[in-house]
Amino acid sequence: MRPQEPTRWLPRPTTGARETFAPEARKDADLRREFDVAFYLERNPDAGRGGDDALGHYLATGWKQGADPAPWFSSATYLAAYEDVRHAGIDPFTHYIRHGREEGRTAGVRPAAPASPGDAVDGTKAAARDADEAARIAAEIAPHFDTAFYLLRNPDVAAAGADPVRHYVIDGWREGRDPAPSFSTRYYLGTNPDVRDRGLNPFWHYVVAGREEGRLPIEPGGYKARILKTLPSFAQTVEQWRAHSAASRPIGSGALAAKLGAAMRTSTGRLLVSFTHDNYREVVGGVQLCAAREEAAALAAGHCHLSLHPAQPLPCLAPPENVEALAVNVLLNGKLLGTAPIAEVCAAVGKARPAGIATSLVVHSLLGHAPEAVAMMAGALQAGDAWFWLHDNFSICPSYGLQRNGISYCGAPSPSSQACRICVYGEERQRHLPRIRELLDSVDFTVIAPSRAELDLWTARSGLTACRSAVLPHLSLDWSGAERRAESAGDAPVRVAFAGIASAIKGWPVFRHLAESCTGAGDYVFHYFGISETDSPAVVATCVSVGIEQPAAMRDALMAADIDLLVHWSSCPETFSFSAHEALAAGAAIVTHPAAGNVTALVQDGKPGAVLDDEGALIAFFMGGEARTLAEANRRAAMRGADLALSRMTIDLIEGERADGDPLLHELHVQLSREGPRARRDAQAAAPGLDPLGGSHRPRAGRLHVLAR
Amino acid sequence: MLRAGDLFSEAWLFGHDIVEACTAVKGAALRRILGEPDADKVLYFDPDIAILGPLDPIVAGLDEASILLTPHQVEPDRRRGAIIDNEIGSLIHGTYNLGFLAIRNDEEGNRCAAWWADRLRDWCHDRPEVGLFVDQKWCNQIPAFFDRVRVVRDPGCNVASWNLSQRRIEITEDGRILVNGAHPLRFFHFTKLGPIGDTMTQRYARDNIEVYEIWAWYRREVEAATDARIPAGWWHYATFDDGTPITKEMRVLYRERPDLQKAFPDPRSTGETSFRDWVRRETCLLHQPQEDAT
Repeated sequence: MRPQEPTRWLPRPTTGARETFAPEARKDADLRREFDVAFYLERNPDAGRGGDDALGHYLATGWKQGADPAPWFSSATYLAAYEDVRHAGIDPFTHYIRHGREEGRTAGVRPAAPASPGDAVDGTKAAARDADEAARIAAEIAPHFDTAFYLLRNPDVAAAGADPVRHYVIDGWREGRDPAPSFSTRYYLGTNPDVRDRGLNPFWHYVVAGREEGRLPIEPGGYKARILKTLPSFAQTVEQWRAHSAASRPIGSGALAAKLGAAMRTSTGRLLVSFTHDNYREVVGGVQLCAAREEAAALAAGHCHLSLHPAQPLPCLAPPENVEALAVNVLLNGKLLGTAPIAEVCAAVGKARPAGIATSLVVHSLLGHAPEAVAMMAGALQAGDAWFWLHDNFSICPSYGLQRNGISYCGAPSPSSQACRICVYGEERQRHLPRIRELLDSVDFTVIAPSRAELDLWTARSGLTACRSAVLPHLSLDWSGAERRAESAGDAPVRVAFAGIASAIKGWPVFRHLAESCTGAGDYVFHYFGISETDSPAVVATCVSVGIEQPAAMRDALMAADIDLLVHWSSCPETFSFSAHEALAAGAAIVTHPAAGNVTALVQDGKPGAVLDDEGALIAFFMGGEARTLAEANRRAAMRGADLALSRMTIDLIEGERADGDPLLHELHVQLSREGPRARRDAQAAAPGLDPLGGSHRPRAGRLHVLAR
Repeated sequence: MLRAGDLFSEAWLFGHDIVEACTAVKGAALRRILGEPDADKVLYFDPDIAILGPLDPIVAGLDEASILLTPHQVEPDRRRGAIIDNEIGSLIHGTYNLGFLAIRNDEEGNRCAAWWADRLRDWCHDRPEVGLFVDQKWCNQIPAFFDRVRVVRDPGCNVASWNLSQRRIEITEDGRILVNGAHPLRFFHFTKLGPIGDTMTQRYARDNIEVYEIWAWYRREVEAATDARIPAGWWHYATFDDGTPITKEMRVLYRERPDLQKAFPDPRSTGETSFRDWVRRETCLLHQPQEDAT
């Protein structure tokens, strides 16, 4: 053990360090008077609706996250300076109000103005000296100061017409404002107590000395490090999910059987039972849209459609104990009937199912379900066919985007690897995989991937096998009605888009950083299309919601904005990517990285775009002008306005088995049985000349046809 | 399991602060363990170290050597700040990090253990002004005094904030954690869990996200293992038997005065003829603000 203190610390005071600060602190009148609610809510919009909520938020969690209670107080600086307060685990603001101010603790506290008239004269002279010094500091930092960024981030300064550099030198740094995206005033003061103790302007110190000394200007690691700092344990995450139930009114098994029986009597087709992770009729999202389309196609084809989703949503499989009692919400032919234990739903299905009716089991997602419950339903259904969709990689790991610790693509290594050991999902994965394996072993599923890229990944990385597998893209692009782009003016800016949910896993922080890095260059305009609230003044946001009624809404929005490039920097390998297809349909090119799954495959297979190694290469691609070159070439060559010919999901595959000879169908891909490579060799030996990757050794199954053009 | 009281007397413990006491026990415990019949090889790890990879080369290393040490740094630094933090830090606190030690139960291993335990009994003090830093600085002498010493320069061993300037962590898609591209991570030293550790880690890990992933794992493990009933920073030997803190000045005074040790063999006890009572009457130590109550 060896101490490695960065520099000297302020002397430890003698009182007040070991008190505990109970939640009653919020009742402290001084605290409430000094706490700046408006300031806090502006910077922490999720802190509630009013004063008590905001103060309570700060006392419970805000201070731990580095939030400040008022513009004149820095939580992080105060804690960094006073070890006793830190070790006592108490919030710094309460300590300062109750003790620190009296004890003369000043770290992180903006100094007060002169108090008496007598001081005012000396104050004037001091002010003059200060003004000279301020001007000198401003001159030295100005070449490195990002005025556009400062004005965007501080609309009050912009509104007042103040000079940004001067504002920062006089007030801004004391209020914790940042002079550039790559410099954090609070972080620099917090980690350099020598600068803080001498009352130096931190950005000035960095420019004249700190940079050369290798001092860090901002907390390193970006958004990934920020996520890691507050990453809860998996058990804590499950607890958070359990606080929200999706349960509906209970429905008894008798009523369920009656309704199901009535529905099946009026249907002309089969009974299809589908497992999803939420009510796709109410939640907006890609997988939800797929489930909704499938339901619509099933009903249009005269089938009876029963869909089940968990009454208790979970970020993992439901526990294996007491599976019969697991509550599911039941949608019958699109109508929510209510909530019932899975065993009762299975019993109702068994009772209501007429003998001889064809049945299908479809699993879109196991999130919140018990695989044992799915097996139970397979038994009750006596399903003629069973389909297991790979909309994501939940079958491989509870981290369905294969994000180690929620931040980096992990490659799905062995569950006993070092990586899984240090991953927040690792322990749950140990329990998760055997249950999925057991389900795939006990039910004759056909695994369906929406792209070849996803099937290849699943086959190589999951360690799982299925009876059969197939590829069925969610849509194909019909270019028959497409047209050339209109001529753009030669100096028209390049329009760059992000489409979809603006989350870290979908690459939003990377896009935002790209946009903010290119701000002021004039060559690029950055757009966001989707339903998320975005937080970057460098990105023009347009609300776009894609639903079953308006499936081409995203394509239309991208075309209306004349988008040249879609940046797709998803951290997880995409199993399909609607947004990439919508961008291609709109005549845009795709910019992505090597591990983006089907998005990478689209570009590597010849679709317009570029695959760049990493974020550094992405920034260089834009700053160096190559993005403009790609955009201009694409403007000349690309067609736009392709129709999105959506599949009917599993219905296509179910009907495909009977649709031999349909000129629109052709075989895409079928894999062999669970013995994998050995069975392929056996099949080849038994029937030389047979395509080892075609056909199936299961006698009842014909070839699987997929809708593709 | 050995307890402090099995190794040292209350009087000895009184004269040492928490860092001094917790490091001194290593020497006494090592001798005790080497006396066990089935202890062929003894590996010591600090409690803030996690073993994350196979230790086979370390265990095998004790086939060819009797003593294994890991230095704080295995590569020189280049930047001035890093030289100050790391290399000068090692000059002050010891070349080798004693969060790890491996000893073979042979003649040379025992000779080394005996010498070290002697020094730690008498000189396990935090006194940088005279070149003493608890157990660790003493080990600068080991290569000079003993044969069959091997300095393990594997960068996968004893990775910590003091050598992150020269070590990059990556995690491969097949799940291996590697240091500097080729070396499997074997053990990581999570020194100074908290803001200081964070600052020093960030200073040198910079954008090496995998370092923060490993730290986040450790933080979760510590949180899961923490018993909330134990107050933060609590130490049994920190206080007199009535709960009032013992200061470093009192400890140093006591350990330098054989007469006080003789007069007050149970210095933590309080009351009329106690050591604390003597301190109150004869010194000003109980009338000053308490600076370091450890």
